[in-house]
Amino acid sequence: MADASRVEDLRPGDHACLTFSDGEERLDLVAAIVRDGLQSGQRVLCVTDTLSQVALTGELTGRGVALGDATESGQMLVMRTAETFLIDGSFTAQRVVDLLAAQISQAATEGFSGLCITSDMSWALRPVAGLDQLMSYESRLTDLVADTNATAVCQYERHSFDTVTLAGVAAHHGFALAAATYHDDAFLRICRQYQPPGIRVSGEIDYRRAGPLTLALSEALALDNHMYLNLGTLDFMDGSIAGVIMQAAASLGPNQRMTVRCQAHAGKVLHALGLPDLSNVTVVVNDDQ
Amino acid sequence: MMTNSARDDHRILDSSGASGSSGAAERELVSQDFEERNLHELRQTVTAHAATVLTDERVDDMALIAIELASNAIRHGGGSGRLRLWTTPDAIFCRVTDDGPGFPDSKYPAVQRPEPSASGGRGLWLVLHFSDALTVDNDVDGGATVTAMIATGDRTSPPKP
Repeated sequence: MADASRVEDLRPGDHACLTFSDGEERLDLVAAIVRDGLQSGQRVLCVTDTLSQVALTGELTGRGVALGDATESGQMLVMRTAETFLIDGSFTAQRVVDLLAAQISQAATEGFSGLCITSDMSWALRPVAGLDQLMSYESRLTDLVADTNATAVCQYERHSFDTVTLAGVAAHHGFALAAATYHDDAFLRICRQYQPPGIRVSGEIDYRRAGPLTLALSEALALDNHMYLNLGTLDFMDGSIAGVIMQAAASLGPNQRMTVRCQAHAGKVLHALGLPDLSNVTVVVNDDQ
Repeated sequence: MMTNSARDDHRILDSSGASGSSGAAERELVSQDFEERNLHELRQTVTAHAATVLTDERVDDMALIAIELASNAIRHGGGSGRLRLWTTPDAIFCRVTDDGPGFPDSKYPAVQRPEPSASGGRGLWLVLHFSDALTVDNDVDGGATVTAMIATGDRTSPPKP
């Protein structure tokens, strides 16, 4: 989705369709949405389906979004599907729209600058009663948030939803939101990571994809003073790719930092090449490998 | 084998047996031709076979070694090559041969670690770093043969000099 908008383009009144490739990418984008929403003084409402409320909070915190005060003050709300989309186990478009309308009013009453709603739509992959109202819901949600201080972002997994549903869903959203992608095929995905900001590389990579990685790193270095290179789900990289990373690290300006998270063997290679010896570079090896 | 004495200066050779290609106790694990489109499956094959004699960490070392040698053959040695993987009672060997122009002097594995800003040269340096012995030979009738060895004696990662 080369023409997809970026998280920072979200504005009040927008109804966006966020598509993602895996859980890591979803949480990265959600973390960025939550971060921006809280920073701008909005109340943030996360509807979670895949993860428990506690697990979602943990994932967001792990990505550097400080939630303690916001949760305490009620600025951050996490609700389950069973409290929103699937009350009584079935889906009714108007009931959810009414619930969100009440939340928008309440956020305004309580003095927040707006309401940022982001919903994990994975529940719609299950055979729930009322699922035929999904398009109707998305259409009404567009009308609900238009011309208000509310923003709605619905999260759909790209490879799980069928093409027809995704196309229909996308048509009912003002715009598409997805991680900026530099390369995507069966073996390798290189995309922008939004929170913490940087680049994420997953799968396996060798010299043939040095080009897109070089581009991704140079764009990230132009944007971020502290760039995170997330290789946590990268299973293999060769010496050429280690070289691209070394060169990026060697090009850091005096006020720039780079943190590389990787698996054990990549850590061993980068260590051998001297990456941790460079100033302003931190290498973190996943301890769960 | 190379006999040119000028080239001999560049050879990184453990004469204790890295060049050994025959012997009663040898067991061949892999012998296959490769080209660029086979790199993914080549690594999987090497990984699977190396796992029968090496610890996980050293399996990854051998997979990296194999891919670096194969990539080098693809990129500089005529676009294809042949990889052999075999064991002896106390080591595992990976040999890549190609039909390219052979190693120019400047392309021998650097003993010095490449600088962070260097544009290349890391692949073969990593092969040298992660193997316990390495031989690099230009064949008399063209092509190059590179053989890397990882000791399996105690099945642990030996200290690096």
